[in-house]
Amino acid sequence: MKYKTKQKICEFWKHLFLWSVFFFTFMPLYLMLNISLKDNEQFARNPWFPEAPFHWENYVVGWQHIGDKIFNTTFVAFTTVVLSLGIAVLGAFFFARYKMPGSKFLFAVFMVLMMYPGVANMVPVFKLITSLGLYNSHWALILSGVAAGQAMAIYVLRNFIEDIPKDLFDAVEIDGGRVWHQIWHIVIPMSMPIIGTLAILKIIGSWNNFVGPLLYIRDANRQMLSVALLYMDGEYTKQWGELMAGYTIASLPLIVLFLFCMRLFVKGLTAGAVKG
Amino acid sequence: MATEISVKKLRFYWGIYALVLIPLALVLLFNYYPIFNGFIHIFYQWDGDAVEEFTGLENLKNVLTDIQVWKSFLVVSIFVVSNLFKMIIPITAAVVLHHVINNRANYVYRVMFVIPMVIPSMVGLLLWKYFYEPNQGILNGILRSLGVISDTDTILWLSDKMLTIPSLVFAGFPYVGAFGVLIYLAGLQNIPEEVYEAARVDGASPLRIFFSIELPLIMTQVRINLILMIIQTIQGWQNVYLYVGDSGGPDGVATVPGLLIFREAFRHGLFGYGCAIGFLIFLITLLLTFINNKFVRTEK
Repeated sequence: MKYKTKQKICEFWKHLFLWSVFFFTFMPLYLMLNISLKDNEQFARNPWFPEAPFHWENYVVGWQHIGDKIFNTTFVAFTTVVLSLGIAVLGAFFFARYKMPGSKFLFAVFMVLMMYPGVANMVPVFKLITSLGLYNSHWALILSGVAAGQAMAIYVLRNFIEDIPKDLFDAVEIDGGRVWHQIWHIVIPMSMPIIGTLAILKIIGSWNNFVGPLLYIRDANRQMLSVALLYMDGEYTKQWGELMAGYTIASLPLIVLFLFCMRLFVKGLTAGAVKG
Repeated sequence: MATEISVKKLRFYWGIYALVLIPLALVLLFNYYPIFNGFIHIFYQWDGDAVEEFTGLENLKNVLTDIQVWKSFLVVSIFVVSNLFKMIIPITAAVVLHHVINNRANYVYRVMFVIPMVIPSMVGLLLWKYFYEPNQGILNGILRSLGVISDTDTILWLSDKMLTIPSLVFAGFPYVGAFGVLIYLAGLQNIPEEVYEAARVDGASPLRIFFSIELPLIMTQVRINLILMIIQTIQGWQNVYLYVGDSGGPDGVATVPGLLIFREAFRHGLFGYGCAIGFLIFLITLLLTFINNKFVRTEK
């Protein structure tokens, strides 16, 4: 009986600690939602609590500012993810399944890049983008994004593909399946969990990319969300409600994606991120 | 298992190389060519366009004698050290969460730790920028209503020379937005129940269990996060740019190396100089990698 009380008190402290962490974590988001429905006068008087009348029209203005940037960012993020992982699977399959002359060297060519700090390459990559005529084009972001993730993705996928039992590949080979069949019917279905995790990480990374769009994109209507949000914060004669509504709209797509594949998120990010 | 293909059999199998061709071409074009090109232009005065003049070691000499370059590395080391302390809360949170007995609550908490990860980092940064806003920001608002500062006073969190770096460091509290918590949790879940039972039989206190069992057994995860954190911090400059602009704050106190490259190359047109700073960052990263491999072995 006494032990049980002690345990209950102990549980209480754990929950209290976690809730206080959540309190500080979600406070900014609460304030964002809260302020997004206020006009400046309400905001100055009472920034803390919701209060009628709610100014839903803030969201219309917020959407006008960043609505089209959401489409830009979505296009870039998804194209980057699909291309990046599609290519990396081929590379990883090559390293996992075959020991060709030069395999080791080629693998090292990729692995060395994991140690190279991208920021040191900022100036020459910019120069490359302009000489390729990709300046101010979304393909500048997509191609540099695809290239940037290759080393990591190949490394993780290779480890995963190596663990697929060889019998499976043999079976396909006996049935006359070429390399493409092996990749399509075995590698991709079998490594779906890790591909899912990598895709999530890549989408989040691409969505948050700030330096790329800042350097490579000039036109406001082609801009990505991250830079557009900064401009919105800067240029505006501060209408806090509209600004916060913009932030909220910008946060929604990933949250919706998260709600749809919550299981994959929680599982993938806990297990896959480490095991690799 | 990999199929071994010898040089003799190669003429039947050379087509296999096609698999690696596209990724290889991409990294050669987008990684290796710029590295090479950047290295060459250390020795040039270059504005990224028409002006391209060989100046020998001029850029390197300027970089090494430029006080603001060294200051920027000092600033970034302050950020690295403070980020080290920021790891404490996520580790504690993961351990506490691991000990929550109620399964339902446990799952709900895990989901709640994912949400801050999917909020765009830009939104998080900008919300904190608003907290620091001198006139209408939340932080000064709290201090005013608590009577710490008078109603007419403002604290310039980001533009007071003494406060800029502390404010940049503090932003983002309690720092659970990254993958940290969930990665540690994954490590904790791998600890077999028997280990805990043995410890309990021996009468180990929870604190003892944490320091003698849990912390050593999640050291792999701690190291992974540590390395990722250091790499990211050394490269990071977007938070500084966001909060105080490309000047790096009052007198440039918060200028980090990445911001310096950006400023010198894209604002002052000194592309060669930017390449030289980049090369210095590369050398320092190389040194850190070497130290890491030598002294902090990760057993796999």
